[in-house]
Amino acid sequence: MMKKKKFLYLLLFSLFVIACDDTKKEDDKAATDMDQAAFLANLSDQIIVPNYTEFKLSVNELKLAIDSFVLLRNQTNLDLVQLKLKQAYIVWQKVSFLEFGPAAQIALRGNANVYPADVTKVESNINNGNANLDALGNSAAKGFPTLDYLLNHTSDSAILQEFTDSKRGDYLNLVSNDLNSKTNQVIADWASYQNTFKTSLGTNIGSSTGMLINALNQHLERYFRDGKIGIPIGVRSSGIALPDNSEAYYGAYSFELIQANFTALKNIYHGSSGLGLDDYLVSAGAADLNDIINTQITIIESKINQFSGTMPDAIQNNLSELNSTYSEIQKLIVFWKVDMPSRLGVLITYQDNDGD
Amino acid sequence: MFKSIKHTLTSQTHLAPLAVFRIVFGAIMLFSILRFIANGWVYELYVSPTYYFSYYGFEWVKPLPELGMYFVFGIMAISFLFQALGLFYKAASIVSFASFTYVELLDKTNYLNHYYFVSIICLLLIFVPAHRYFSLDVIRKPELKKTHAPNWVVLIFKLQLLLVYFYAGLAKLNPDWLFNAMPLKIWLPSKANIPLIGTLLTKEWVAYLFSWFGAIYDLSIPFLLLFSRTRFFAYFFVIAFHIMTWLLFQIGMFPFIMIGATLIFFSVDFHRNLIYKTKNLFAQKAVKEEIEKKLNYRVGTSGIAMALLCFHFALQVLIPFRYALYPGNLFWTEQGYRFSWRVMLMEKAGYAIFHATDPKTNQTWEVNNYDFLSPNQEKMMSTQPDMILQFAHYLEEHYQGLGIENPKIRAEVYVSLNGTLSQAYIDPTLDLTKIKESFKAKNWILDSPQKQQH
Repeated sequence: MMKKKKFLYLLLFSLFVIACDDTKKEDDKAATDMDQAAFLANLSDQIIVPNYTEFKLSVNELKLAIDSFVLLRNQTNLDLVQLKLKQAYIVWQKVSFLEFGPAAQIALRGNANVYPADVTKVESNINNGNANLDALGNSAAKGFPTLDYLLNHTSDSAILQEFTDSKRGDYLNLVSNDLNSKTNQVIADWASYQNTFKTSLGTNIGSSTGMLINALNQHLERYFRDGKIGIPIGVRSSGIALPDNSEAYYGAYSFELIQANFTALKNIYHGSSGLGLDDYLVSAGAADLNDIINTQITIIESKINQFSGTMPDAIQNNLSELNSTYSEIQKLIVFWKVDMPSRLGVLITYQDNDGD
Repeated sequence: MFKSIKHTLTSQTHLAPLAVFRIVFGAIMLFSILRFIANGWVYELYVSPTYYFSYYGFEWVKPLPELGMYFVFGIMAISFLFQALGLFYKAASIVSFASFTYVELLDKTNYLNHYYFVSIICLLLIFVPAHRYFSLDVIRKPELKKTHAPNWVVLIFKLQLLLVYFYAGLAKLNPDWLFNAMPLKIWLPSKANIPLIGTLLTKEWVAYLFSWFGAIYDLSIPFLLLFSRTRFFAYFFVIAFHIMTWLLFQIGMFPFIMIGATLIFFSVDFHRNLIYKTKNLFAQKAVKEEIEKKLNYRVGTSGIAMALLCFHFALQVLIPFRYALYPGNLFWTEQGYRFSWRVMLMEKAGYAIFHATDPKTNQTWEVNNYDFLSPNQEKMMSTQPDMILQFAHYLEEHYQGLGIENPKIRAEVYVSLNGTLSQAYIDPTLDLTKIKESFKAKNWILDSPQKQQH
């Protein structure tokens, strides 16, 4: 009986404590007054979904151009299809880093942009016909790199000549349809995922903020720094440059893709003109870190904007600047991957596990 | 004085609390292991990695092939089930201790204080007659049944729990925790979405409240549990505290293990009543009265057991203080950090870039960490100097295997501790292949951002 009474007092006491503090909210300095729901809504409604919609349109235009090129192979149609490929490849840079949720489910990045293209595989697929693009061995024989190879790898007249073989046109169609259907799938899934994204608050594994920051860091590290610059300049191959491993090697517009990708990363960090990670950091009392990150972003921008030619040319003539670009990106990775999650309380891991 | 201690240890106590402890612990562990398997962690943590961060001196502990690892976990689950049931108890206890500890020794990436705690409890359980009351062994072999045993068989678990809590509390008595509310000031606001209390968590004073409450809780709870007058009050806080941490942080089964384990502080009557009611669920005829059967340990065995136990607890008391033998800020250098009940104490993150050099060609290149390490391994390695060194040595071997003689390995590491801007962690010019791992102070760790000494 006594014990029960004590329990009751305790319960009452704790209720009292909880009830008490609502009254004096104003006096306390909030450690963070970030409206996370508004932040996520801004990212999904103003950036992610519009970017995907733009990407879907550009992939669809590319498909239409490919359709007409396969039907009627002439210089005009080839010019158009090359242009549409370049446009779609640039818009891809606005969504490539969103590899979570629907995109991760379908592995969009792995389907759309594994480069360099496996040219031998592509040619053997063309010859054999009926390739299954979902097979593991075909990851480098589809998507943008393969389209780049098929449409840009030699002179226009030679390409027009090659496509007189109808099997080549079939494969072009197959790759184009595959990219188109996977893109459509991701965008269709986002329609229902959008709400999940906006309502998965918090910073744990599985929260939208957690997934986004992890996805951004993984992209910045592996697919931006390494894929677009590090690997071509030989950082991963004992210093031996691999220029033919650059993105859009045949179309020779690697730097335009690099610039588009970085602009998109910067845009999502800033939340376009709304609430972004920058505001999140400021509200968590890390305005100093935000300043440092912004300075670093500006430095990287000026580095990548100075290149205009092709990646192989830059490797040949301006390797030291590429190396220094790489180092500047490296610094941003430390700020994004170590400092930003630390200040926001986000768990950085691509793996689910217990802690203590 | 000595006599009264001896008397306390050897006077007879009822076995009901120990039996309940055995059942609760075994059952939680069984669930915990099944959860581990179901989450796919056997594969992720012990099959897919190509490299494992061994403990110093335990490099010989190697993972088995995939099927073998699943077999170990299967055996482990079964042994905890048998332990809970009290069936072939001694064998089950030895197997559960051996299999669990084997797995924990494989890779320090996965070190958790509560895994260490589980290993210790498994070890202690081997030496106590937890199966001689309310167990299938007693039904199987009625002559095994005892109602009483020397007091120490229960006391050692209370003492172990006391040490865990007390040291966890002691570790919280550092300026950053108490006067800056770090790292809770970072962690709590990030949970602002939690219903009801979410908005509260963004308040700075709440972080201070939690920090101070946590420290006082850890330091006082084992003592409040010891005395019958404060026990129910204390247990209410045990439940509230651990459920809270479970809701707020990703800490797996730890809260439940502690909530279950601290039941051992309750009285004999409480446990006998619990057992009596449980029996009643299955059969109406259970009787409360029983014939006392005391278990008298032979003096010889008891002497050895006592000596071993004294040794164990002496280590338990001393090990958490070994950090004092090392220079620098403990949280920054982590020399003497593990095995000391330092739970959820800091927000630390890092990034490590390894540079390999072939001295023959003078070519230098960057290592792709993710070619060798799982994301979790890379993350843990980036903030812990012993792991950085281990990985450097692994890389040395790897490049030697590729035909490079005497490769040089340097590491550029940036670490952020409790929200300070990331800083260089170790000397980036140092060839790590020239440094051997030992218990000696790692003087190649650079100074910490805060000079605070724990």
